[in-house]
Amino acid sequence: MDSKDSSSSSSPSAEDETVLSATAGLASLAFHSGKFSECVDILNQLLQNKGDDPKVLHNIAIARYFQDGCSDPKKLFEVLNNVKKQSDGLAHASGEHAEDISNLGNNTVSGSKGTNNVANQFSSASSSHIVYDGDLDTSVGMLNIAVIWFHLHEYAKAYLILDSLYQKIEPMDEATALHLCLLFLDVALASHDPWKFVDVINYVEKAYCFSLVTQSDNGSSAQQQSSYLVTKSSSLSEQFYCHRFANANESLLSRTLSEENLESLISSIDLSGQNLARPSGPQSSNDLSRTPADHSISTGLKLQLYKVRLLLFTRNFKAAKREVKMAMAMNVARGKDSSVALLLKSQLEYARGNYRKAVKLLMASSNRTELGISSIYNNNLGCIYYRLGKYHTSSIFFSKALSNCSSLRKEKPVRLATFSQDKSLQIIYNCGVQYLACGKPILAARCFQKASLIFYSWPLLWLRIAECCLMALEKGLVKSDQRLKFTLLERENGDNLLWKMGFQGNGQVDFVEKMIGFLCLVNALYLLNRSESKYLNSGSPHSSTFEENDESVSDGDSKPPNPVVGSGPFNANGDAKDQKGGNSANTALQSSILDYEEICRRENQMIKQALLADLVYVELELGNPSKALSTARSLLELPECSRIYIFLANVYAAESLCLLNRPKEAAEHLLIYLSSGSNVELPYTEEDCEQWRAEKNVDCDELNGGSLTANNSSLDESQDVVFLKPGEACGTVYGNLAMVFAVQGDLVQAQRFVMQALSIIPDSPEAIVTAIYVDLMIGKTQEALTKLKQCSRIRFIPGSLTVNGSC
Amino acid sequence: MMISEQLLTDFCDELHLSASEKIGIGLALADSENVDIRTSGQNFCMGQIEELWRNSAVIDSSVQIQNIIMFLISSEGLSKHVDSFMQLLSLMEPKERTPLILAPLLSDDFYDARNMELFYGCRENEFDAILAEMVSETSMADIMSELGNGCTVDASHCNEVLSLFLPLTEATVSRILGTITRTHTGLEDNQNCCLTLYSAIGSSATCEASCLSSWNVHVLVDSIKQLAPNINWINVVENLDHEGFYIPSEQAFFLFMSIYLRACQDPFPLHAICRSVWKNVDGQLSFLRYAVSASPEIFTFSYSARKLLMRFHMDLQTMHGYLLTFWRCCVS
Repeated sequence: MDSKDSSSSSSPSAEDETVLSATAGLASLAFHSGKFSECVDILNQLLQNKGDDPKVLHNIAIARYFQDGCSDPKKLFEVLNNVKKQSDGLAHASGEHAEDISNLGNNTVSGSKGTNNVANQFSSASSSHIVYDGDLDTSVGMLNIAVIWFHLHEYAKAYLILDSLYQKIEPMDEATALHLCLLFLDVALASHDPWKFVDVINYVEKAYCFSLVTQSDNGSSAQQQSSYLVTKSSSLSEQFYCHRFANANESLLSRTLSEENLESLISSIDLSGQNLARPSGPQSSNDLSRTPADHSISTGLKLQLYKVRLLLFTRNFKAAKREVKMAMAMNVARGKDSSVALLLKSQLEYARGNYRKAVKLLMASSNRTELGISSIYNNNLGCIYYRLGKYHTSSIFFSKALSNCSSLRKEKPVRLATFSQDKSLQIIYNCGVQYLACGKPILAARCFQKASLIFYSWPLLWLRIAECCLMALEKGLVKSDQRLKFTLLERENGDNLLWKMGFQGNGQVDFVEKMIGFLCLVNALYLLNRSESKYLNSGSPHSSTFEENDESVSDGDSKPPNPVVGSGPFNANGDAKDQKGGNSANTALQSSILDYEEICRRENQMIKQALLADLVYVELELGNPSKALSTARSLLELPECSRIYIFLANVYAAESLCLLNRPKEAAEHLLIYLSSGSNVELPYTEEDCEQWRAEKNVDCDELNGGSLTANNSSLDESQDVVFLKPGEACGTVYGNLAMVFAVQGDLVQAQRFVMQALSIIPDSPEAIVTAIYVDLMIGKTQEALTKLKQCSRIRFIPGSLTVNGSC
Repeated sequence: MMISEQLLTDFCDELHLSASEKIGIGLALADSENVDIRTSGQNFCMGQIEELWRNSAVIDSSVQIQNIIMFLISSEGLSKHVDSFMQLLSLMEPKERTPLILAPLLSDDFYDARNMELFYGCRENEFDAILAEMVSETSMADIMSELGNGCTVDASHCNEVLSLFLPLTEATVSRILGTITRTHTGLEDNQNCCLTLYSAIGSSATCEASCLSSWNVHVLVDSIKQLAPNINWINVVENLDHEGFYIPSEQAFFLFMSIYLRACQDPFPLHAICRSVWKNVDGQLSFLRYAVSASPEIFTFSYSARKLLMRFHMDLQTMHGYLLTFWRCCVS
C-alpha cells in the first residue's frame, strides 16, 4: 500500500521522471505504430518500476485489446473495471481531504461551466493536478467502458457512466473531455434524451468550438494542439500516460463518432441518419495515426451534423434544412467528404415525403462497398419503398440489408467496431412492420419477437405483436401454424419445452392467440402509462443537483418551468446553460424539443386509442364482456379521442352490454348516433379518417397497422386493414340497432332499422341474417326465403358470424 | 399476536382471496417493521410465487403474473411494493426461464448483457433462419405488380428484375403469370417506382422515360426462358392453383394464352385445369368460364384424354355448351 501511495501522491525525482517519461514515450510510439506486443512489453517494464500503477495497467489492457484484434471486449471490460476499482482504492487511501478539495473545486467550477472553460482547464491542471489525478485516471477508464457499452448498443449503461463523468468534466483534460462530450451526444440521441443532448452541445460549443475555430482559422491548430500536448506530457509523466490513454480511446472513439447513430431507429426514419460518415476504415490501427488536431478541425462540422440530427429527431424539418445546408457548405469549404451531410439530407427529404429526392441523395451519399454502409443503405431504401406503399419491393431491400449484416457478423474475428455497425435488430423491426403491412402476421411476429431484444420497453412493439395475433386470428392462420405461439411464449433461452397445451381444454381453438394478444396489449398499455408518468414526475436523481445549480446562479430571467412532459429534470439544466451563453441557435434547438414533446404526446394518444380499442376487442373475444365494457368506457373517456375510435368504443360497449344482458343500455350507446328520430348521422366523416391517416403519416410509420381493430367489431364485416367507410359505419349502427331492438322484442323498430342497414350495406352477412331473423319473427317466411336465396352470392366465411349467435 | 405463514394461508383461504390479493397481503406484511412479521410475509409471498412458476403452462403463469403486477400497480396502497414483488420474482426464477412476454414488466436488467452475448455469437443462426424465411416469403409476382408494366419494357430491364430472385422456380413463374393476367389493364403508373428501383439496385440498364400501358409479354417470356431455360411450362400451369389467381376478363384470358403459346409448344395441359377441384375455386371457374367460350384457335379441349363420346357431329357452339355443363357438374 505504501508503495502505491508514493507512486500516486509524491512526485518522483527529476531523474526518474525523465527515464520514465522516455519509456512511456517509447510505449506510446510503439502503440501508435501498431506494434502492440512491443508496446505491452515496454509497459510491463514500466510497471516493474512503478508498482501497480493503475494508469499503466489501463494502458496495458488497451494495448492487449488491440493486440488481440479488438475481439474481446468482455476481457477489456473486466480489466478496466478492476483497474478502476484499484485506483478508487488508491484515491481513497490518498486521503479524504483530497476528495473534499475536489468536491469544492467541482462545485465552483460547475457554476461557471462553459464560460471560460479553457482557463479553468489550465488552472486546474497546473494547480491541483494531484487532487484530480485519481479522477482523471478513472475518468479515462470509465470513458473507455462507456465506449464499449456504446458499441455493444447498451446505451442506458453508457448513458449512466457518461452522465456521471459529465458532472465532473471540468478537471478533465481537453481532449478527453471532448471525446466524452461527443460520445455523450451520440448516446443521448440514442437514448432519446434531447434535453441532455442540448445541454452537452451547448457546453461543447462554448468550451471548444470557439477556441477551435480561431485555431483552425489561423491555420496552426495542429501545431498548437500538439505543443499543448507536449507541454502537458512533459510536466508530469503520469499526465502523459493520461494523454496516451486518451489517444487510445480515440481510436475507439473516432470510430464511434463517425458511426454515430446506432440509434433508435425504430422508426425507420432514424435509420437513415445512421451511420453517417465513416471516414476511416473499420480497422482500428489506422485510426491511431489520427492526431487530435484532425479532430479539432472537424469538431465544428461534427457539431453542425449533430445539430441536424437533433433537428431531424425532433422533426423540425425547416430548421434541419437550414442547418444541413450550412453543413454542406462547411464540407465544401474544407473539401471534405460530404457523405454524412448527404445522408442526413436524404433523411430529411424522406421525412418530408419527397421520396424520389431521398433516393437520389441516398445514392449520392455512399459508395456502398462496405458492408456496414450498404446494410444501412438498403434498409433506408426499404423504408422509402415502404412509405411509397410498395411493401413487397421494400422487402427486397430489407432482406438485402439483413444479409449484409449477416455477412458482417460472419467476419472473423468479430470486432467491436464491426458489431457496432450491425443493425440487424433494428432492421428486423422494420421487416416486422413491413410484413404486417403485407398481411403476413406470423413472419411479422417472428421479426418483432427478435427485435424485442432491444425494443422490449417500447409500447409500440407490443401493440404490433398484438396486431400480428389479431391478424393471424382474422385470417385463420393460427390453426395451421403453431409457430406464433411458440415464438412468443418462448423462454429467453429458446427453451419452450415447458409449454403444454393444457388450456386448450376450454374449448376455444384460438384461445392462446387471443391470450397472447391480450398480454401484449396489457404490456403496451403498462409501458405507455409508465412513460407518461415518468415524464410527469421530475423526481429523478440529477434534477436536484441541477436545481441547486440553478439557484446558485440565481439569474432572474429563467424561463418558467415547463409543464410539458419530458422536460422536467433537464429543463432547469438547459436554462442554466442558456443564461450563461445566450446562444440563440440553441434556443431554437430547445424550442424544437418542446414541439417534439407535443408531437410525442399526440402520438402516444393515438397509440393509446388503438391499444384500448384492440383491448376491448380481445376482451370480447375472450368472453369478458364486463372487462370489455370498462375498457370501452376508458376509451370513451380519453381526451382528444378520434371520432373513429369513439365510434368503435360505442359499438363495442353496446356489444358488451348485450352480452351482459343489458340491451337497453346497449341501445343507448347506439342511439347517440340517431339524430332527429330515425336517421343515423355519420359516426365520423371522411375527414376524420383522412386526419388520422395524415397524422399517422407525419408521425410515425409504425402506426400503420393501428387500424386493424376497426374491422373486428361486432358487425363490421370489412376484412380490410383500413377503417370502415363512414357510410358503412352508419350502416353498422343501423344493423346493430336492429339487432338490439330485435332482442328486446321490438320487431317493428328492428325491421325499420334493418331495412336501412340493408340499403347501405346490402352485402353484409350480419345485416342479412338479422333481417331474416326479423322476418321470421314477424312471420314473413316468404321474405325470409327470398333473402336467403340472395345470400347465395355471399360467402359465409366460417367463424365470421359468431356475434350473431351470441346476441 | 404471532402471524405465522400457516395463519396467513388459512386466512386467505377462508376469505377466498385471489392470487393477486394474497401477494398483496404478503408484500404489505413484508414491509412491516416487526422482523417476525416481515419474515413470514416474505416467506408467504415466496411460497405464492413458487406456485406461480410451478404452473406448467407458460401462458397461464404469464397471465397470472401480469395480473398481479397490474393489480399491484393499480391499487393505491400496494403500488409501492411493485419493485419488491419484481425482485422476489426474479429471485425465485432463473432469468433464462422468464418468458419473453413478461420482459417489459420485469426490471430492466432482464436483458442484461444480452448484447455481450450477441457479440460472442450466441444467436447467429437464428438471424439466418429468419433471413432464409424472409427470402422464401418474398413474392416476385407481388413485386412485379408494384413495379408496374415498366419492368417489361425491354429484355435488360426485365432480366434485371427477375434476377433479383434466382433461381426462378415453376411456382414463382406461375404466380408471375397470375399477377400479369390479373393486372393486364388498369395498373397505375408506377414508372417512378420502377425507375428508382433500377437505379437503387445499381442497374446497368438505362432508364428511358418510356411508358408502357400494358405488360410486354414477349419480353417477359423471353427473359424467363433466358434465366430459367429448363423451366417446365406444364408444371407452371399446374401451379396455377394459388391464392389470388383469377382471370377477370376475356382479354386477360387471351393474354394468358398468348403467354403460354409463346412460352411452350406443347398442347395446353388440360389436366391441370380440369382434373380436380382447385383450392382456389374462384380462380378455376374464372379460367374455365373463358376457356369454354374461347374460339378453338385460342383454347381447345380437343386434347383431352377423357372426351365425351360424340355419336354425331356437333357444331362447335353446342359442344361448348356440353362442356360447360359438364364442368359445372364436375366442379360443384
